[in-house]
Amino acid sequence: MTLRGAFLSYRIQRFETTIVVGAAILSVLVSMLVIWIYNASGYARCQNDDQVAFSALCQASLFPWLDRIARLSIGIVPVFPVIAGLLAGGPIVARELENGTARLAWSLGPSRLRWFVQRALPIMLMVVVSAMAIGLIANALTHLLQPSVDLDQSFVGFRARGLLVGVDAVLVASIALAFGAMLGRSVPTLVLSLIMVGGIGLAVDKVERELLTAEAAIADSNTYFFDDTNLYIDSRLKLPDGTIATWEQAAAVYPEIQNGSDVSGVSYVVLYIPGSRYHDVEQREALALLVLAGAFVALAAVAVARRRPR
Amino acid sequence: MTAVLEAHGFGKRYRRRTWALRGVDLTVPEGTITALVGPNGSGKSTLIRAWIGFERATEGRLSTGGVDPQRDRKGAVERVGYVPQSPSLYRDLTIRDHITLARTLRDGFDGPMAAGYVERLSIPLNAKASDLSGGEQAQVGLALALATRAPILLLDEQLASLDPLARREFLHLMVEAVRASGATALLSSHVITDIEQACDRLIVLGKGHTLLDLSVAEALAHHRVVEGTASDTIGVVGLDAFVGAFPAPAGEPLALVRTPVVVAAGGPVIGRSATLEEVVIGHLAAGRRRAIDAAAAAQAAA
Repeated sequence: MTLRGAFLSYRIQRFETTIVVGAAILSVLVSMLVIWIYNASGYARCQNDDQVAFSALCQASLFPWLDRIARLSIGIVPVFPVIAGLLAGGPIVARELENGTARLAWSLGPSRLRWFVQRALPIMLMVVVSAMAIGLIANALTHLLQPSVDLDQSFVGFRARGLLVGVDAVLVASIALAFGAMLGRSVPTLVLSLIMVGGIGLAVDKVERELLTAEAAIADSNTYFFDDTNLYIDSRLKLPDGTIATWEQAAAVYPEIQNGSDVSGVSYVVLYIPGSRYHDVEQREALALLVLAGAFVALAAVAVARRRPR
Repeated sequence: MTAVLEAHGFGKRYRRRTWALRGVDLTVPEGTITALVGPNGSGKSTLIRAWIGFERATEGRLSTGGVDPQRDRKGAVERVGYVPQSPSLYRDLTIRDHITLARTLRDGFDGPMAAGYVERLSIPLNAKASDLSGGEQAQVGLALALATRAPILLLDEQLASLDPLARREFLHLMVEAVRASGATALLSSHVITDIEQACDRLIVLGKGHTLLDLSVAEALAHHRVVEGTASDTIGVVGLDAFVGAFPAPAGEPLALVRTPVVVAAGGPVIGRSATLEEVVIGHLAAGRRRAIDAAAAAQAAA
C-alpha cells in the first residue's frame, strides 16, 4: 500500500474522515483547554481540597461550567467509538458497491485483497488514532475530576478511558466493514451493525463477568468500602462450610433466609476485582476484542473476494 | 486465428429461475473489434461480466485470454480492460486522482497514457468526476481501460449514453488504440450505424442465444432485403433462405434473406443489399419468432 493510495482512501471517504477526525480534534482541544484553565487558575484544588472548595474561587461561576464541560466530555467518550466506527467502517465497501465504484476498482486491480487493504487500512488507522486520542484525553479528564485516584490502580471510568476506547472503535468499525462487504448497502449496514454491536457488547459483558467472578477477591460486606477503585462484581453469601453461594443457592439450603432471618455462620460477602488489576483486565479485554475485530475484518476480506460487483 | 474470448455452452441463471443466457457458443478471434449486439435483456452484459469474472456460470465454461475466469479471476482481470455499462467514477476524486488510484491498484498501469487520452478528449485532469457529463465519464472510463495495456478490451453498452459527437470520438479513440496495440476489443451496443464503421465482426445475441456470429463483411455480403411480408418472401425464396420479417420505418414490410442459400437453390438474386442494421433486426426478429414458437410448442406439449 502506498502513501498516495492511503491519501486517496481518505479522499474517497472525505465526509466521514472530516466528521471523525474533526470530532476527535475538537474534543481533544476543548478538553485540553479545560485542563489548562483548571490548572492555570487553581481550580484543580477545588476537586480535592474541601476547604478550598468553599472558597470564592471555587464558588465562581466559571468553575461549575468547566466542571460541566469536563464531565460532558467524559460522558461522550463511550459513544464516540460506536459513532466513529459505524461512520468510518460501514461505507468502506458498502458505498463502493452501492455506487458501482467497486466495479471500476476491481476491474482495474487484479487483486481485490490489495484494494481491500488499501481502502480499509487507512480508515481503520484513522479510527484507532482518533479513538485513542479520545481515550487518552478521557484519562486526563478523569484525573482532573478525581485527582486523588491513581488511575493505573483503579477501575474508575472502566471502558470509558484509555486503551479500550480505541479497541472498541476498531471492533465497531470491523463489524460495520464486514456487514458492508456482505450487504453492499450503506443504510442496512449501519442498522445491522448497530444491532450487532449491541449484541456483542452484551455477550462480551456476560463472558467477562463470568470470568471475573471466578477470579474475584472476596470481602466481608460489612467491612468492604464501596467505591469505583475496585470493580464490584456481585454480592454473595458465605455458608458455614466456606462455600460462596448466590442468594437462591443459599435459600435452597437455608429457607429461613427468605424471611430475613439471620442464620448462624452465613454472612454476606462482596466479590470484587481489586483496582491493582486494572491494567491486567483492560489488556485482556482489549486482546479479546482485537481478536474479534480481526475475525470481522477477515470476514469482510472473504466477502470482498467472493462477491460480484453491481 | 486464435480465439481470445470463448464461450462453450455457457448459461447463466438468476435466482434459480430466469435464464439470462443459455447454450451460448461463441469465439472472438484475436486482434478483432467485435460488436456484441442484442436487445435489452439478451444477456450481453452478463456475458461480458462473466468474461471478467464478475459473474459465475451456471453451466458451460468460458475462457478469457486462455484462462478460466471462474477459476482464475485474477488472471482474467489482468488480461482485460473493462468499461462498465454505467460510468462508475469516484464523485469526489479528480480525473488525475483516478489515474493515481489505477496506478496503485494495477502494476504496469500506464498513467501518462491515460492522462494523454483524457487530455486528447479535452477533459481537464483536475476536473472532479461529479462535474463531468455522462459521456465524459464514459470517455474517462475508456482512457483508464486502455491505459491498463490489457490485451483484451471489454466495453459494455457505452455508446448508447453518448451524444453523436462524443460517440464518434469514443469509437475513434478505441479503434486507434486497439489497432495500434494489436489488442482485441468486444463492444456491446444497440447503436448499429457506428458499429459498422468501427467493428470487423458481429455477434447477435437474442433471447439468451447466439443468433449470428460473422465478420461484418460476411454479414453484409450474405444478406439481402426484399419488400414483402414473411409469407410472400418465403413463397419466393423458400423457408431455408428466409431469415425474418420486420417493419420498415415507412412503406411495405421488409424481409431479410440469406443470399448464399438463394443462389445455391438456383433462384434469382432479388431485393437490395442489406444494411448492417437490417441484418441485425432481421435476425432479432427471427430469434423472437423462434422463441414464441418454442414457447407455444412447450405449452402445447404440456
